Amino acid sequence: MSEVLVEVDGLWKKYCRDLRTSLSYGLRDLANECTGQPVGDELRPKEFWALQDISIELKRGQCLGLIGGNGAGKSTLLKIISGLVKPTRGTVCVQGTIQALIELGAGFHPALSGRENILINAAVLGIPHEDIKKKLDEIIEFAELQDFIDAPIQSYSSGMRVRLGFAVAIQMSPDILLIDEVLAVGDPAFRIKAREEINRIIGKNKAVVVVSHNMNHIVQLCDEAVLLNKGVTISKGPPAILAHQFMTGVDSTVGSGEIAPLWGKERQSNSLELACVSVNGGERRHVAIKINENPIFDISLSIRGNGEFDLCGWHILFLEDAQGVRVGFGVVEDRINGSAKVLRQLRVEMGNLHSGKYIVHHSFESAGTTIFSCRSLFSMEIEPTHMDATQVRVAQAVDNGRGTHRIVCNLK
Amino acid sequence: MTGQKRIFENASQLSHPRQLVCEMWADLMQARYLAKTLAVRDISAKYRQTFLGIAWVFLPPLATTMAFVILQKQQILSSGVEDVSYPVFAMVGVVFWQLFSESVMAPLQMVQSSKSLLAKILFPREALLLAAMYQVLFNFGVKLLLMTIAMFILGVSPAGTVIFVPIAAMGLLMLGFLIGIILVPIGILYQDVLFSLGVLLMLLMFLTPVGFAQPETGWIAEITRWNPVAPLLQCARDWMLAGPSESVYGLVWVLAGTVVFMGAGWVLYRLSFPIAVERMGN
Repeated sequence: MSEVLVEVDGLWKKYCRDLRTSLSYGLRDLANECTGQPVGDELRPKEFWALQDISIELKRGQCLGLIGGNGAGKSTLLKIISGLVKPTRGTVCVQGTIQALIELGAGFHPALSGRENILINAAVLGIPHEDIKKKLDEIIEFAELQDFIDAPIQSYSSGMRVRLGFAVAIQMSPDILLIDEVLAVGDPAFRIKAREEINRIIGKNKAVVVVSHNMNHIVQLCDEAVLLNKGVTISKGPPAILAHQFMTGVDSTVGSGEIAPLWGKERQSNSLELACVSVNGGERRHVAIKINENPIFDISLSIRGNGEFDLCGWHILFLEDAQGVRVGFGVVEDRINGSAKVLRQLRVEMGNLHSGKYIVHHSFESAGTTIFSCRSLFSMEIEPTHMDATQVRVAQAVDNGRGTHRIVCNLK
Repeated sequence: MTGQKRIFENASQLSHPRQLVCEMWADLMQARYLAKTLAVRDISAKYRQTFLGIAWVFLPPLATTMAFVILQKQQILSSGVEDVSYPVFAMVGVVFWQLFSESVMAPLQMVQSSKSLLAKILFPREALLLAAMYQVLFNFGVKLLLMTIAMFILGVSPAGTVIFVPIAAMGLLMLGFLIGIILVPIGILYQDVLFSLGVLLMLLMFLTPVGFAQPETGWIAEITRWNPVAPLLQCARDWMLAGPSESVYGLVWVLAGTVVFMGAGWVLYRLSFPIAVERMGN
């Protein structure tokens, strides 16, 4: 059984809306702290709950995504886990070293050179001096700043600064890594590189918490997710379903109460299984499409079960590119009931695709469990037309960097 | 930052005193390299965009000394100094006073300028204090060099007791830092502290025997008797220019008090951060 590295238990956090009142409360809280008294755990005038009764468990090797709109409490939760602020109620138990990838380029001084700032940033992040000295060339190369590294960073563009900050930050090697909205840095090509680097870090058996408004990042990186709204946990479960809930504003209880492993990682045995698949009315599982077409696929799923069954859940489709990176996903709710065998037809629309090879995977999740799944439901190749090759490449890079694919998936 | 199991809860850190002391020590050890890096950053960046460069370290004390000399020459200020060259007397006073005043200001200035770091990254908070201390010591070193050159030019040789001067200098540094650390928790919440500090220090300078000898009578004499900076500054100057100092008992008392309260100030400094960070925003 994996070691639990972060345990958040019944966490509440209050904040004050009014600055002046907040400062006077700050003095009172400080007086309490200095006399060994805890800060009062009831709301005072002008205060509100930023987090309410949050409970999370994070094991080694897990990557947890925090989803929610602005003011949902994601960053507050990260601050409490990293020990920057104290909880009002509840406890956070942390086992192991913890680092936060929140502020890129922390401690940078504009008048100093990129090279000097690498050493400063590394010191702030707690990276040993010897390690950073050894990796100096690697960092400069990763940030693609070989020609500017001895220039003061006030002459850098904002993109160059975050690239340098990111290149230093990924040298950290804690047990628990907290990532807050730092995946969308630099130009599109750098974003791809950054995402790959984060994938590499996650693969090193660390416990990772990711906060992002980009649902594709959450789906690609995380194997579990928590959806927050105004400081309250709405649901926990597979990232794709929660991302879908967040994007569509669907209020569903699917997956609530437990965090389940993601499709593909641990397949659950169940009474239902996928017997047969057909795409666009045929057995053909590879489709070639012109780039200027917006493909629509009709997928027939033949599902076999033992005796009577009645199950509410979600069909999840993942779109994977030739490099094995998930570049899109789609979710649709379904109730599968019947006996022995049922047929389901999904209509899948994909837009904004660019030339290249893709694979579509499918899984059906219910109450946080993968009921059945199919790797490589079908593959497709988007062929370029007479369009200028440069245009196609740029479009693809932009799209990959932003990760904006969204598959619309409906029951036919 | 440590690999141990840590529990974050609402209870005051003082409810686990042993754990608090262990964390303070561990953080202090861990803070040394970061403090050095931050101090080198600030010192090298500060003068990089200036024409006069490091001259800005000794121009302010030079100007203050000149002001005292002019006031004394015009007999506006009665210094009560007879045995030694007044410019040297005033310069020594100003340099040691600035060691104290910079020590008072430095912790709060350092914390204020690091707000965005404090709000987002958990690093040993002691690093800011050590970095501020390194900068104050660097400035003091440069001024000391200037003072030595001035004494040489004016033909004033140091007294044999000059070897004791580091004790008084250390006292001024520690007393200044103690006051500075105690002001951080309130100063981090209310900007008024930083705004008023410059004005109060200016006022205090004229109530401390910086440009004049310790008066025997009058209300300023009474104030300086209770002014904890006075015996430290008097000792520093006496040991440098004259010989044994009469203020040595005052120095011992102030040093002892500073050492005792320094621990409490450090604890207060640490306790204040989670509360202050909540109010720093993102």
